[in-house]
Amino acid sequence: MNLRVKLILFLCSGMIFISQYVSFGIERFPPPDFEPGTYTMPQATKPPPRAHYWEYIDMALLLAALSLASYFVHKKRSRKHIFWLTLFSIFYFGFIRKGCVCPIGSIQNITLALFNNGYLVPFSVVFFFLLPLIFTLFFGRTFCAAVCPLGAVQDIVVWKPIKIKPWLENALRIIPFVYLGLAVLFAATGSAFVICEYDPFVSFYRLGGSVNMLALGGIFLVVGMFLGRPYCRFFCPYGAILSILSRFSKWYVYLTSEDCVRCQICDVACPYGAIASPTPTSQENNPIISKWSVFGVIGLTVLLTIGGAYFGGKLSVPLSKVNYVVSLAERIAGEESGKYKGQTDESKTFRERGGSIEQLYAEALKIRGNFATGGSIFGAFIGLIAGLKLIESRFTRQTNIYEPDRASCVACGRCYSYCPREIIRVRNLLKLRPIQKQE
Amino acid sequence: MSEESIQNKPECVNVNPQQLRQQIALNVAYIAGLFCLLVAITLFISHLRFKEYYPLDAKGIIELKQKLVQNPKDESLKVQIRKLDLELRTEHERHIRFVKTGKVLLIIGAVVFVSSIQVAFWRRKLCVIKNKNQMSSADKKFYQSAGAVILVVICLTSVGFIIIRNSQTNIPNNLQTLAKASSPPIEVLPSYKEYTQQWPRFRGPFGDGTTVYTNAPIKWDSESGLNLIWKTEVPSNGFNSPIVWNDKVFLSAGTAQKREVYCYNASDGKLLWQTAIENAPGSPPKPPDVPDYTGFAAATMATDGKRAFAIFATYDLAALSFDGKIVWAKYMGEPKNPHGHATSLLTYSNMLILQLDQGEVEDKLSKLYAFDVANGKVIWQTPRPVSSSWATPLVFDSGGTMQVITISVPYAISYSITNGAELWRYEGIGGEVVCSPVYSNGRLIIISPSDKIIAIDPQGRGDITKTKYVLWTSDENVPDVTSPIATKDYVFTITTMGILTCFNAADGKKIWDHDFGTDFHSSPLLIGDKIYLIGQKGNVYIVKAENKYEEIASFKMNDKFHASPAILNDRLYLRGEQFLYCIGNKVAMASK
Repeated sequence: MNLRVKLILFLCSGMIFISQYVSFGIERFPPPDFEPGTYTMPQATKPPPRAHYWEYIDMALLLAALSLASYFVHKKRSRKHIFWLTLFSIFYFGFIRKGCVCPIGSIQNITLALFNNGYLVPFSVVFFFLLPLIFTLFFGRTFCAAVCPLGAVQDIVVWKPIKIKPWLENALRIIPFVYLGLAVLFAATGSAFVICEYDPFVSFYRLGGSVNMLALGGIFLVVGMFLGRPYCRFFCPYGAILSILSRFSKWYVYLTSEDCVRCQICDVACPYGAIASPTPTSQENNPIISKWSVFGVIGLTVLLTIGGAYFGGKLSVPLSKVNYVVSLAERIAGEESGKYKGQTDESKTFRERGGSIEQLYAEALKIRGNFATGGSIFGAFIGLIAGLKLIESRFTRQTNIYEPDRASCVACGRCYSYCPREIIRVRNLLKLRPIQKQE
Repeated sequence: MSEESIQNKPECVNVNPQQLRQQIALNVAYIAGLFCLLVAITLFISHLRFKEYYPLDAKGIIELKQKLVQNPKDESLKVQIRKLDLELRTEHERHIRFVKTGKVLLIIGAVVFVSSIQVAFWRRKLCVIKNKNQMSSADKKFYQSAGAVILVVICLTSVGFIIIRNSQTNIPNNLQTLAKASSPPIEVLPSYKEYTQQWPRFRGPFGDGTTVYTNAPIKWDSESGLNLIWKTEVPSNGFNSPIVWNDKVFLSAGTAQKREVYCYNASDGKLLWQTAIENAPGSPPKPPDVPDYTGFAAATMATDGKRAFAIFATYDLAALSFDGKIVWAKYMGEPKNPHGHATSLLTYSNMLILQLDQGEVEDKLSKLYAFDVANGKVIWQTPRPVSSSWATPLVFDSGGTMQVITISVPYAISYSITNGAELWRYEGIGGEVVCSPVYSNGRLIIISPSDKIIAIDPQGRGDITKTKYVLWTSDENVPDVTSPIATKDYVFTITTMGILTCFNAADGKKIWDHDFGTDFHSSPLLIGDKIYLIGQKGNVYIVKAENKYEEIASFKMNDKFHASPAILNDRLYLRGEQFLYCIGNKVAMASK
């Protein structure tokens, strides 16, 4: 049983496991039956709740969009079709659904459901979380290509992308894993949904939001004009998961590998630095250095993992302050010790309700203990990721052609439009007028 | 066409349609981008100015509203506020419309910009790469990559260190430290013996109008000065009775504008301090409406020997040190009491007991609280299934179990003083409960106003309504305001209309009654074997606490009395509407 099959089975069993936490909600307290036209229910939430059947439509559309994206990327190999699907995703998954629920934010819902018995996650959220992962295992990052509304809006604003050195890009791609770890830690402790709180584009899709969020989104878009997909490449936590899974995908984006002429046009065309350049064998070829470098990276990985675990545990104090109970306890403790003057609304309410300060402290310390454990796991995870990146760079597959990197290629299809061999191949396939060779 | 004309023909530039399209699209993109930038900057500037016009936060309106709280009847101020509010809201609406328009323009500009970029760069010509066949070796890539990864790890670690260093915790970190931090050194409160020698609450240390003192004067005259140690003016807006601890007399007074606690020197009646109770955390600036016949300061204060406690009809509860400083204060929520709060406070050990009965039974608002006297923290609180009431609870020792008995409609309920757990209840109380219970010789005497007097053995548990623990009931001459006196053999009650009745404590049978023909609001005081009664119009009657009516003295004071008398060291403290009187045996004082 190969790794891909094992991963698929793991995901499916995960779906079954998570489904026990899935709630199929019913409206327990429906509003009164007002006479038509006499009363308009005010909108209490933003975005407003939608009718139940829309969930099924959304899931169906997600499945359809992913299927289409996969078809356009692998069969049609057409940048034009991918582009139009991108526009649809911006329209529907962005403006119509107002960017919620998206697979990126669903990481937190799933995590909280796993760690909190009292939290039930709707089936549609589980679907949104798992379906792109399953598609990635088969077709690569076609979700990122044309379905993800965050990636889609960044894709259409690319103007004059600059190239980042591959070694730098590779190192900076640790940050999405840091973000992923923090998001999971905060969700697991019931502290915050940071991915949703700091989604840079949700304020655009909802046509409103705080100035800070609008500014953040604007900055990402402006930067995205010159540095393709900055959020996807250097922040997206879901992309971090996809970058792992896409390494094992059955089908993946490729160019004409047999007869690559190394013109480098695909590398220039790709705005996301996802084309891996050829790597010949080492000129030095010193077996002793090679052996020591292997031991070195493996040893460093172990050290980074252990060190990360230790360091992550130490972050429990600052990280736990994100939790409401801990921040309230800190405030109350500060007021009791005289460090803070006056009271906040929260501390005033707590005292007036006659809350027990000792109980509050005890609860806060318990939550901080959870953060210490979670922080250690988080630190170990980041150390492991850093170590694996070292190992990956040590054991780079040697090749003499340009080809899309499976982990970082978002299957946008731009390389299809430029690779001359690809153009010839497609035209021959479609039996179009062959390109005349110029004398 | 001649050769010459061909040669003179201006050169035609071969225009590539794709390049032309791209150039036009690019220019459109530049213009649209600039347009978007200008709109964004305009919206941002508008946002910065927006806060000046926000109707709730604008500085001018906050200042005016604060002035209005100080002068609630200033009509011109109200007109000013309304005018300014209207201007701010108009500006706010205008801003919202402006932002909406800006959003639409921004979206249009963004769509044009993005479309132009896509058109301009669709299959654009790429630059030719020089030295395109140069490739980095695997080792070089590895060293570069490894170096970058290590650098990123170092950066992340440094950021983490900075965060850890700048993040200290205020929470004590272990349970022992917690226990020490949360429990201040145990305060030594006065002993029980000392407590019984004071007058620390409504109707004395035992809450039943009895005292350890036996030798108060039986005649005095506030006009001639006979046995008058001192008298001092007091604020009239308070029906609460004075409490006394050693050399300090405490009482409270209040109006809608101000509520205060007063402290007088028990030796000479000089006002030592008066402290306003205001700004209790959460207390709203506008007090509730309270009927004049109750007033804001009907509840008698209490003291534990270290602090004096007061509660007002605003539900502001405060603890003051004996030098007048507020130790802690609480707001108990919006009052829902139709006649205003009148239940007095009492202390037991380190607990301040507050019976807060409000609303109707189904409102479920009533509660019995025990606060820590030192800091006001809730030690326990018990919800009560009763409606509003005005009687004061009583703490008593029933065969080794300390109980606190409360009376309201429809139940008299007794709780354990240690944790507020209900011990027993009696159903059958009606009307407007004002009379407080008393306990003597194993019998609890409770009154359902104008209805019946009930004697209860408090040893029962659960619902004792129809059990042997209800010793007797009597429906003769039942008072509706004043609280009774109970001795080993007799129970004495005085009605509002002035009928004093003596009951047999064993079976509730009436032994005698006497009509004074004058109204009484203050409860009687038993000193030795004499009952002291002070009528509303200043009539004073001193009678024997015996099985037949025997008047020892009667005279009139030139004042009105609603508060019940206090006694300490054989000196009586009487609060009239005009004066606070200290009555004592001057000869005895001189000889001391």
